[in-house]
Amino acid sequence: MTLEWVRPSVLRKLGILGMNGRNVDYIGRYNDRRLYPLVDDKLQTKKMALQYEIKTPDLLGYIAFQSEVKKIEEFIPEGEGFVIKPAQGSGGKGILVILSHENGKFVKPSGEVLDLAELRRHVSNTLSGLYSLGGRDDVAVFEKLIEFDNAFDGFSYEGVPDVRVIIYRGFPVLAMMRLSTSTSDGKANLHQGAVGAGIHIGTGKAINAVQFDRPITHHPDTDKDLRTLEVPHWDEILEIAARAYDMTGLGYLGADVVLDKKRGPMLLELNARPGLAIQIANNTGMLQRFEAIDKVANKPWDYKKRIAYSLEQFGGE
Amino acid sequence: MRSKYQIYLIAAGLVILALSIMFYKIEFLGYSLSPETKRSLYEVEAKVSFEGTGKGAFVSLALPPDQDGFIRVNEDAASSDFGFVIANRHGTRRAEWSRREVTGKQTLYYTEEILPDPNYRAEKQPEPVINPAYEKLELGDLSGKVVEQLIREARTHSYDDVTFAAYLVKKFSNKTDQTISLIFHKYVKNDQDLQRAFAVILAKADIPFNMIEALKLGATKRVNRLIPMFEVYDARKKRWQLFDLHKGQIDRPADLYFWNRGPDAVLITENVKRPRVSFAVTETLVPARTATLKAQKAQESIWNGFSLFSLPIDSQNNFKRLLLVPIGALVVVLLRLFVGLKTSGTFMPVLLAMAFAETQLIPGIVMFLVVVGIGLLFRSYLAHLNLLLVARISAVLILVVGIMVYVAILSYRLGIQESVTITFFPMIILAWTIERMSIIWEEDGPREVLKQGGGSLIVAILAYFAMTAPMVGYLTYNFPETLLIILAIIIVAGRYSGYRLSELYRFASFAKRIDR
Ligand SMILES: Nc1ncnc2c1ncn2[C@@H]1O[C@H](COP(=O)(O)OP(=O)(O)O)[C@@H](O)[C@H]1O
Ligand SMILES: [Mg+2]
Repeated sequence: MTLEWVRPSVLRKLGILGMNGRNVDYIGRYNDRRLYPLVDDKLQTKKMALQYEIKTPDLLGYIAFQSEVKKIEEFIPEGEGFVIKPAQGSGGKGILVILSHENGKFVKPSGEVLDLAELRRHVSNTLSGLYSLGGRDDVAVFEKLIEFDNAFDGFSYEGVPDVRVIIYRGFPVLAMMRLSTSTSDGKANLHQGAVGAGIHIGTGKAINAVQFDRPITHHPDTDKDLRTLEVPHWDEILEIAARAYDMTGLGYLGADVVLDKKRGPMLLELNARPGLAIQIANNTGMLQRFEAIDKVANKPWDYKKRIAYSLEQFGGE
Repeated sequence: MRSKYQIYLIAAGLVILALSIMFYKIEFLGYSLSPETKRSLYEVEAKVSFEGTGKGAFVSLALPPDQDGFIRVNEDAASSDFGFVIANRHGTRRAEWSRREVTGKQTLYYTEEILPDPNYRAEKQPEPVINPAYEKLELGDLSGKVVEQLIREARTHSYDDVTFAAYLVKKFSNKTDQTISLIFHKYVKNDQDLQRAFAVILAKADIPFNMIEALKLGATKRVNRLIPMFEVYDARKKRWQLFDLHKGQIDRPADLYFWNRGPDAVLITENVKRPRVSFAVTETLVPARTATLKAQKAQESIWNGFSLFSLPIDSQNNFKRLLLVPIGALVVVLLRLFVGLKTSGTFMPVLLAMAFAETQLIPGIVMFLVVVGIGLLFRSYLAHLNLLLVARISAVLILVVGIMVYVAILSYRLGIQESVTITFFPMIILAWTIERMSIIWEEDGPREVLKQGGGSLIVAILAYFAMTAPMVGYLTYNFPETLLIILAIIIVAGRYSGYRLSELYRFASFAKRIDR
């Protein structure tokens, strides 16, 4: 592997957003700290989404105290898969996906089997803040397992793919489908080894795919040609994402949307510090798009108008 | 972008403030921007040990007189439940401890800090007369005749007191002389006796003199005996002339510290068994400036400015270390924002760097790797035990402590000194690091562990170099206002929105692909 370098001036010319730029110029400027709990706490996000009538995966319940850990069975749905996650987790940390269970044996996407004691320990760790931002005490959230849409058969290995849409001041900017791999263990977080496929804002079709920041053409586990990926219900996904801005007021936002076989697109979670790899997956920098949006961002448009503007600006070939 | 200018304004304000304070200190308080020469500061400790006899015990220890060339900056006597006074006997200061009914082993301490200063002159010299206490001195049953004969002989071979004494010493060094060999055979077993022999003769000859017990300063060491010497008043030069018991007349070496200068023994006791006094000398190098201030304080105790130097020396050392923390933080900020290194825990590398500063770099790194490595193995085993988080981390913590103790003992056996200082490792932080690393390993794979672990180590090493650079230590300590400058840098760096070095690599192939 040779070390390759690029001059900062080239990155600037291409409009590529860097980490410091993101933190100072966008997160720092458009994301009010006081609003963070709305997105950093998945329970709050869910509650809010309910008010705004945005669909989210069904909440089975949550555990907030160690003393309740023994009651864990109450939240496990009969004969169905489920997910346990820390309410304040991020980056896929502490997410336990259980596909199915029988007689106290719980099967993970990788095929690994856990028993009830291990489940309890996971919950207890979650409560102690092991997986949470800054290690503070947390709540373990139980969610119904999403059964992902058939459209993604072969594109995702052992896990639910999600669509990440970057929303800048209410306008969709870039989108990316995140597909799990054997490395990412049923979770669709890029730095854990998931594949990111850039999705065209106008068409919902794949543009380019990356794993660990490097371009790939085929899924590493299923060998499916990633360029044939096409996301169904694309308009609805853009709507959910754009409305997340109205819901939270955060100017630089990453909305994670999942597609359930039966219920269609649902808001999985929101992120106030979305990553930068989405640019690589889309073969484009985001700064020029931000500028296009800055020109009209002060207009009192509703989400429909904003989406229309994005489609007009970024939706062409 | 108004706030951006505000930031620059604040930063500029901080820098200007810091520079003005520095300027003031250099211009008016005599500070210097570069480290000055170091001076030795000696801590001398006299330790008196004895056993009680069940009766009231009394211990009297001669104390160093005010003398040329040495400034006493501090003195302290530890006298656990003994009555303690500083008394004056025959013109000599003495530390005197007493207590009723003393049993068992006892130890008393007297410590002082002294600063050699060739220009220092004692406030007053001993009177050029013979102390009456000397006249009672005797050397066994040595007859007055022999003494008188020696005096007569010396008189004829000398023309004043100094040459008299010089002749005497020379005479005593000739062991083939019959009288002398007899004296040695009967009365002189050691240097103390020899000193006493000279004293008896000089007293009889009415020559103003003093018995001296001196301590050779120099590198840190423990000494059990003082060097007996004497001095004779040189009436012509109006000063005291020092004599070595064997070499005769000598110039006083700069590192010779008089502990006792007078007729009484160094240690005088009543009702105690096995009295012993031993001395320990510790040399520390202090910046000349600190030394000067200390000396000033001891001499006049008026200079007491708002300065770190006015603190006791051990808290000064703590402050020294404290003032380096912002330097470490600066390194972390720069490496994260401009280079883009990932670390596990924001300031964990700073703590690590501080530990390295105590243990030395290489032993520190080895220790870190060993502890974290074994810790990760142990942690992966603990995972099966199904423990609650607090218990698990505590278990890892105990393991960490265990490893440290073990390695310390092991390497002490192997004769490696550094490892004994490993206790400076931030153990709780290490335990947490192990816990987090093992989570990262599980969740994100070994690749991420390597990235964050390696990143932390690199940052810690660089922070170590920054924090241990002598110039950095000197500046932060003498000019704590440099902290304001660091604050300014950090504030400005916090608004840096350009690319990180790591991004020039991360986005390289991508940028080349789309740059057509
Ligand atoms: N209810 C669910 N059913 C199936 N998979 C899920 C569910 N919730 C989360 N996941 C998987 O875990 C990943 C991370 O979950 P998410 O809620 O986004 O947490 P994080 O904030 O850690 O990214 C998702 O991308 C998805 O692959
Ligand atoms: Mg997510």
